[in-house]
Amino acid sequence: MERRGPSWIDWGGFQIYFSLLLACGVFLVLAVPFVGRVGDLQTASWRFPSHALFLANVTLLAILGTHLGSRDERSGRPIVHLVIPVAVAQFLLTPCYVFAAVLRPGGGTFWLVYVYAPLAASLCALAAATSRRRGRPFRPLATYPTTYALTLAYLVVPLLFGLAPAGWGALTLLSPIAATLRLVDPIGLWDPIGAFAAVIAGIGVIGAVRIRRRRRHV
Amino acid sequence: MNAKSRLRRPPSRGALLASVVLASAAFAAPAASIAIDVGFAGSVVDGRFAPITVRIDGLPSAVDAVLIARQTAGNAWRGTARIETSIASGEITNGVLRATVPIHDALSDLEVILEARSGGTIATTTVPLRTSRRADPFPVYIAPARGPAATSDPVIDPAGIPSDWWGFDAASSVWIAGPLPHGDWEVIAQWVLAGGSAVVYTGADFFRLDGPIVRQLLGLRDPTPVTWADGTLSLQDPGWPGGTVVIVRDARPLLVHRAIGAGSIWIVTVRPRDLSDAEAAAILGAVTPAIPLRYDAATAGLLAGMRYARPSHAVAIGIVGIGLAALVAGSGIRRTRPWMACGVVIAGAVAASVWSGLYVNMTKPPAIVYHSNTIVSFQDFVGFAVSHDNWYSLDRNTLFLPAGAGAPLVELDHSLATGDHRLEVRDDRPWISLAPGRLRSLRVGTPVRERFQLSISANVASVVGPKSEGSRTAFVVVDGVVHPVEGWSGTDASIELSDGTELESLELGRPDHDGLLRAVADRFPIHAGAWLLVIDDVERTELVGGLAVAARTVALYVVRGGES
Repeated sequence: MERRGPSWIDWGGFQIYFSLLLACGVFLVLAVPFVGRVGDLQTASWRFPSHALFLANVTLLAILGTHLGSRDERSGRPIVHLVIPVAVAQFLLTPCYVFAAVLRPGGGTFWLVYVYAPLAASLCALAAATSRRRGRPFRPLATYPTTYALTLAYLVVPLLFGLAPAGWGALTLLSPIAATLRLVDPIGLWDPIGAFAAVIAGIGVIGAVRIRRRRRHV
Repeated sequence: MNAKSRLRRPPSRGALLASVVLASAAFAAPAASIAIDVGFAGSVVDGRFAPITVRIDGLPSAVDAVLIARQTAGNAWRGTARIETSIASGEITNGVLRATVPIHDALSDLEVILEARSGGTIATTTVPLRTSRRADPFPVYIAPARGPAATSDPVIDPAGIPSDWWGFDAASSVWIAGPLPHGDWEVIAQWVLAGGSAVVYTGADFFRLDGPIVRQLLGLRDPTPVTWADGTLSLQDPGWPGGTVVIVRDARPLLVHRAIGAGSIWIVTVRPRDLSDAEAAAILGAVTPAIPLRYDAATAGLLAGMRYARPSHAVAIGIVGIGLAALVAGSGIRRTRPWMACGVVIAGAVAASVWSGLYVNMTKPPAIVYHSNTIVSFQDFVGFAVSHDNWYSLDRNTLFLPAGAGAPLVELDHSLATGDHRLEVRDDRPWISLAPGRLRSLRVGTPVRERFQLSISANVASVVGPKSEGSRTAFVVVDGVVHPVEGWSGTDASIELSDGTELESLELGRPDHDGLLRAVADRFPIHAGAWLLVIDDVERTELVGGLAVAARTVALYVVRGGES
């Protein structure tokens, strides 16, 4: 008999949790250099980038958020039901982040990713949940593949602004992938501000749409 | 014309002119200006140091400022490197300043800026270098010495002699035919000992040149003027001890070569005007170029051998394993005990975090910047030191160089597009940009910093020197026989000279020390006479501007001994 329990962890998405933890763990282990001398570091033709851990975190957490949002078809359910599983998933990665301090001594800005990743995933969850609900503007998007395709586009498409002339390049921060790279190695204060502003603005816009639709239904 | 129209009438041209003149007079305070001469008669070589003379005029009073030489090497395609050097700092007044600056790219202009420490530019000037850029080092003639008629090699006034020995870095040989101040002889002697090649015309002019440093430099014991059959007055030293006669005239030495330090001195026994064209050409062909001392390989080897304290793979795997195990365990009981399933997962994450935190706290954080420094210091009748630095960073960083770094020459790759190449001066101190995974190599010449002394009396050698901050290995070498100075880390020590070993068979047991010692022994004449060799090895990790920097400095001091 299945008992009713807390919704902190979405067991239906167990594979995503497991993949998230496994991928980040593997990247963490690979990011530890396999050399003992500075000379070996110099001559190594390729070194596994330590920021791969953070990229995997952001990408897989966004997929988890999309999964949670896609399943959330009941209208009027509080946002917190989407956000808590995302936050718990991020909490599972805390040991990796603590350990990463050894890999990146002196560069503690990666902790910004620890906060940013669940925000971006929450945005994906909200966007997926909102698009899955019955409503004219979102009706054409109400299929699983389209929702995931949209998440993929959110992750990748803004990167194309990097090919645009100078000035447009800042828009790459709309992509969680670009934002993560900038948060790990920020060039200035505007990098974190821009990254967080973009994702918070996205959450705000979707939140406003949900509130407006709820009022309309009432 | 009524009053209203008079008011609207424009001022006359005369009034305008008068007001402009008055305004000009009011603001006609003299503007500060800078004029500079770089290189030898403007000639410079890429990747070498060059002397610079800066004339400052128009300052109403002394200013607290920094005088900076700035070069932007490269271009948009190749990438750029912005390199700054502090020429002078502090109270700067009108006058002439002499210094030595590195030339990183002679195709780019050199800009000299006088910046107030309180902020703002007081004066600036730019000199194009490309017109007189030379591909290779070249002979430098100090007037009245002159090169062959067809040559474009520079002839400089004695006032243009560099103030630092490494200012001759772009010279393949230096030709001297007239008297020079003691300080200039000292600079020339330092450069020759450091691998330079100097030609000194003597003959009838010798006693105008003569002085303590000249005697030491030329290695003369009993210089005697000899009048040859053709009436030429030549300088001769019986037997030319330690010298090799290269060219003769009528069986009499005309050009004598003597190895000194790591360099060469060429003594022409007559004045330039006493040489035939054929003899002058023969001398020009016989003189070998300078070979500057380079310890890049030793420094790179030192860096490569530094230990990289990496974190444990096993701990990383264990930490991840706990999280995965907790997740799997939670999944297994989620249907029957859902609350406990969540608790197991969260407890697993907390346990792994605690372990991770404890490990991070207990583990000495690995340095993010690695720095190796090789110093070779030579003390004879004059002294000099060369210092090579290698920097390697795991991350993008900017780092202030240690005090005394001077004006280093940065080795630049052809491609500068691989990162941020900057060495700039801020608050009178140079700082360097470090790109992840990229090596930065710096080279600088310095005066002798640490002074050692070796005196030998009967069968006992006494050594005096500064205290070592790390491990010290010291030897006294007498005519190629090595006597170790055991346990010397303080300021002085004495040893009995007995039972030594041959210098060639000396093994220090540390490949990096052995390599450096061999490199020095190959260039310096430490097989004859009494020498003190000291190797100080200091390894430490220190926080520099919040960055953990692992640094290793190996300093090799070569000191000529005397009898007490």
